[in-house]
Amino acid sequence: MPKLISIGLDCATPQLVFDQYIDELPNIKKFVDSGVHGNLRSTTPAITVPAWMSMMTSKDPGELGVYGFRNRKPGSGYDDMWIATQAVIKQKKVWNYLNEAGFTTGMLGVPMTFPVEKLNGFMVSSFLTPGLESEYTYPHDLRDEIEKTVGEYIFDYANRSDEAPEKVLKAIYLMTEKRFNLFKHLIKTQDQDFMMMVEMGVDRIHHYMWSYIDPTHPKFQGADNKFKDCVLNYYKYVDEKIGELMAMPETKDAKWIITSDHGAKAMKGLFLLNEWLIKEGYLVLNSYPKDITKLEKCDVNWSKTKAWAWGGFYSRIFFNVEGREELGAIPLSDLEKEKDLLIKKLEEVKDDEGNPMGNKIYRPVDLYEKVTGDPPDLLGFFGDLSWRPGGTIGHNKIYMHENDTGPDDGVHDWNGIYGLYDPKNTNARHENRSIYDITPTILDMFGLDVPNGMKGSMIKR
Amino acid sequence: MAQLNIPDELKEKLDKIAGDSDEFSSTDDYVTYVLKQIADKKLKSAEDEKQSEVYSKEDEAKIKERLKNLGYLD
Repeated sequence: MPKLISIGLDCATPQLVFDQYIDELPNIKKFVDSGVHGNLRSTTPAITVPAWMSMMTSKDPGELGVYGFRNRKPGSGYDDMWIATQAVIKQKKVWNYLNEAGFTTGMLGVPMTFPVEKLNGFMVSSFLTPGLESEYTYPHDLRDEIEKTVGEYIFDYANRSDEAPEKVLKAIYLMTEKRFNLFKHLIKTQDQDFMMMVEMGVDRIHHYMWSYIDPTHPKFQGADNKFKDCVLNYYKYVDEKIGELMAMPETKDAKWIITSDHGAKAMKGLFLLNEWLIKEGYLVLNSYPKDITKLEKCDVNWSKTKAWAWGGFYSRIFFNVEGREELGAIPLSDLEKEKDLLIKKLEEVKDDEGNPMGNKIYRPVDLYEKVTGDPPDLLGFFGDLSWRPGGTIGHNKIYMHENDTGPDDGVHDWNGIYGLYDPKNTNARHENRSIYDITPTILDMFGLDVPNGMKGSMIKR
Repeated sequence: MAQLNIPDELKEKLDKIAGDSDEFSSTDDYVTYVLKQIADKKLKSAEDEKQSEVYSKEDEAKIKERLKNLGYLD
C-alpha cells in the first residue's frame, strides 16, 4: 500500500485554488484545513520544463543545464535547437533516492520523463512522448495494461487552432479522466511505496479558457458568457477525482502531497521582441516579410545582426558573437558591454499605454549558482510575466493583444501551489515555500536524510 | 592500479615526453592524463549522441509541432 501519494496539477494556481474556489473543492480543502499548504515558488523560468524536473531533483535550471523545452548550443547554427528530455538530466531524481533506500516508486506522467527510466517500480512517460508507438512505459508490458484499463491513453491536448470551446473542454476532460482512472488502477494493482501522477489538463484549460473566466482579462468574454464557470467546474471535477483516490481502501494510511509547477494569470499582451530588436538596430533583415513569419524563415542579414530572440512564456536572447557564431557581428570583448546596454534598454521599455512594462532581464549567472548546459546569453521576463514575448516578425508593430501563435489567453505566474496532508496529523498551517523544497520533504517523509547540495529544505509537519 | 601493454618503441617516446616535461612526474602520470582526456571526450560525445537519438527526425517534428501548439515555440 502506498505510503505517500503525490498529485501534480500542472499550472494549478493559488489565486483560483486557495482564494476563489477552495470552498467548492472539498478534497483539496483537506490540505488547507488539516495540512500544510501555501504558494510554491516556481523556478526561473516558471515553465513546465524545467520546473517539474527542478521539483524532482531540488536543483535549479542552471545546475540541470535545462532552460526550457528547447535549448541552443552557443555557436551552433542560427536555427539550431535541441529539445530537453530525461536523457540530459544527470542529477538524481526523487525516485532514484527512494529506490536506493529500498523504497519502490511508481511515476505517471511527470514532465520530462521521456525516455522512460528503468527504476524499482514503474514509469509512464509524459506529454513530450512522441506517441503511443514510442517506448512510453517501464516495464514495457505495462502499456498493455494501460490499454486494457483506459483504452487509448492520452498524453496531452495541445492545439492552438480555433477549436470551439466545447470541443476543447471535452478533449481536456477525456484526457484527465483517463489519467486519473489509470492512476487509480495502478494504486490498486501496483504495490509501490511512493506514487506520483501529473495531470496537464489544468494548464491547458487555463491557456485556452482564461479570457472566459477573468473579468480583468483584456479580452474578457463578458459576465454572461456560457463558459464563465468552465475552469471552476473543471477544478471541481479534478477535486472529485482526487476524492476518489483518497477514498480507496489502498490509500487509507497514505500521506498526500499536491503540487503545481507554476501558476497562471491573464495575458496583458504580446511584446514582439524581435520586432523591437529590428527597430533598435540589433536585428537586421535583408527584406521585411509581407506575412507573419518565424525568425528562422526570415531573410536575416546575419553579418549585421547583433542580437536575436526566442519568444514563449519568457524570452531567450542570443548575441551574434565573432568567433562563436558563424557570421558573428560583435567582438567577444564587447559582449558584456553589449549585454549591459541591452538589459538597460529592455528594462526601460514602456507598454502600449506609456507605462513602464516592468521587465527584468538577467544573465544566467545572475540567476543560478552553477550555469551548465547551453544557456542563452540573456533571459527576459516581461511585465512580471503578464506580457508574453513574441518572436515572430511581419506585424509592423511591437505590441499586440492576441497571441501570435494561435489562441492563448493565459500566461504563467511565479507561484504554483502545494499542500501536504497526513490523516494522522491534522494540524493546519499556511506557509509559502519553494519548488526546491518538495524533494527534501518527500525524502524526509520516508525517514531519509536530505542529501547535501539540494537547493531546498524540507517542509516540517 | 591496472597495467596495460604498449609497444616498447611507443613507451620510449612517452618516457622522453614525460621526462622533458615539468608538468608530469612520471610516464605513468603523463599517460594517465592523456588517456583520461581522450576517454572523457569520447564519453561526452557518446552522451551527446545518445541525447540526439532520443527522438527520430519524425518524432522531433511531432514534438516541435506540439510545443508550437502549446506556445513554447515561435
